[in-house]
Parts: sequence; C-alpha cells; structure tokens
Amino acid sequence: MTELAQITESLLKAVDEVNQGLPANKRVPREQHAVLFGMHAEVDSLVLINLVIVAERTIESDFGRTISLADERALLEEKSPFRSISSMADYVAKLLREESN
Amino acid sequence: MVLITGARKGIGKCLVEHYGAKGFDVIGCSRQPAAFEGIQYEHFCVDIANESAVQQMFSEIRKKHGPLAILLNNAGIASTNHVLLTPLQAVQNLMNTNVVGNFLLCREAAKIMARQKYGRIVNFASIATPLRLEGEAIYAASKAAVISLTQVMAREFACFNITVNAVGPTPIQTDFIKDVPESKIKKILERQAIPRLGEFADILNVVDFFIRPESSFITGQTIFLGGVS
Repeated sequence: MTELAQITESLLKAVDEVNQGLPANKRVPREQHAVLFGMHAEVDSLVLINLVIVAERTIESDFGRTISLADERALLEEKSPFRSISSMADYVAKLLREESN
Repeated sequence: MVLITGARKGIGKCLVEHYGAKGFDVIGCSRQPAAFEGIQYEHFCVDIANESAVQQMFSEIRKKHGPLAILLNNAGIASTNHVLLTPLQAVQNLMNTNVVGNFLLCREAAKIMARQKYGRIVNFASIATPLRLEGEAIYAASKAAVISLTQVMAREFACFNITVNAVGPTPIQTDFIKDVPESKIKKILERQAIPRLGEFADILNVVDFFIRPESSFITGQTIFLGGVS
C-alpha cells in the first residue's frame, strides 16, 4: 500500500469515528471526493472541525507523528486542503514529507 | 486528569496540591522544573507561548495519560509600568504568555476534550481589568483578552460539552505582587467591596465550583473576587 493510500485509510478511520456520534443525515460521506468544504459542502462546518481534530489524532496514532492540519498554510492555500478527503490526504502527505526532511 | 499551567509556584502550586490531595491525576507545566511529593504528578517544562512545544506536551499527554477532563490556565506574567515607560518587548512578552499561551493551551486541550465530549476549562483573569489599574495597562489588556477568549470559546466549545469560565483574583500574597509597593496594594484593596487580600482558598472555591459536574450549565462567565465588578 502506498503512503497516500495509508493516509487515506487513516482519514477514513477518522470519518468513521466522527460519524459514530452523528445522525444519518449529518454524516460525512465515506467517499474520497465528496465535497467537505466550500460552497457545495456536504457536511456542516462543525462536523468538519470535528473531523480535522479527529484526523490529527488518527494520523498521530497510525504514523507516530504529530501534525497540525489547521496551520497557517492550510488556511492560505488557494485550494483548501479540507475540500475533500482526497485533498486532505495530499496535504497530510506533504506535511509528513516536510517533517521528515 | 487535570492540567495546570504555571504549576511551579504561587496559585499554580496551590492548585496542584489541592487537586492532588483530592485524588486527581495532576499534570503541571511551567518554564522551570517542579516536583510534588505524595500525589500523582507529572511535570512538563514548557514555554506556553511556543506552539510546537505545547503541541509536543499534548502529544505526550495523549500517549501516556487518560482523558483530560480539566484545564486550569493559571500561567501568566505581570508587568507594572507607566505606558510611557513600557518597552515594546515587554508588551510582546506579556501578550505572548498571557494571551497567546492561554489560547494555545485552550485550543490543544479542547481538541482532546471535544473527542471525549467533556471538558472544563478555567482561565485566570484579574481584577486589574475591571478596576482599570494605572500602571497595569498591558497586564489589564492581556486579561481583558483572556475574558473575551473565555466568552467566545464558551460558545464555540459548548457543542462539545466543554465549559469555559474564568476567575478574576484580587491581589493575594504571592511572588506576583512582591515588588508592588504596599501603598499601591492598599489603594487596590480600598476599591474592592471586601477590602482584604485574597486567600488561595478564595480562588480554589471558585475553581471547584466551575469544574463540578453540576456546573455544566455555567459557561462564558468570569467571577471576580472581592466584590469587584
């Protein structure tokens, strides 16, 4: 499994954890390209905040590394890393790569 | 488990001893090392204004300890000076510790508390803000920021079942006021409804109240001691 696939798995674990406490109509779609942030977001902002918090922890426990997803760069990026699980995975991979160097 | 900042001395030390004696698993932090005997205690040497150091501390807390139920954000520094004689560096240092540090601790603690759907955060304000004490402009402003943070965070964290409140102590006999002239302390006390120095017990009473499970409907509040409002 590639690192990106492992990261995606870890993020989907976070999705599952967040969904546990939510009614069916509020759940985060368990789909890599579902829109999570912006005009056509399929989840409300509070759910997304929760997902980011939980994702930081699942990444920490799966990769043994502490990252902060909501850092300045994430907020400044032209395309938000939070717009989908797929873009979040790319951003996590970038953070992990930078931390290794 | 309870996390207490500024744990080495003064009010922080008193909080550690109080909650340690009550059987809490206590974690403390300060810039300098500290040790307490006879209680379940672990100390972290951390500059709370340093984001990566704070994140590292929370990472270790998550790995080694159980759920974090309570954060007592006591760490703070004071600076007494006329505005016209206050160097920018002193302002930045004070704001970094009292405001940025407070914010970072709340943010990282709330990430843990949000996941467990329970938390109590108590920040430390000061009567310097409502009394608008001359010579304490920057300190009073930093504590005004703490009160605002408390009020807004109370609203943002309510959905996670986290309460955020603040206690505003009067002067009490600690190192914090050791360099303040007696005449100035006397003047401050005269402006309180109850004109005496505070005791540690006065602060513990308010903190005990805020962190009780029964206080789940109380958030965004600042209680000033000594009848100051």
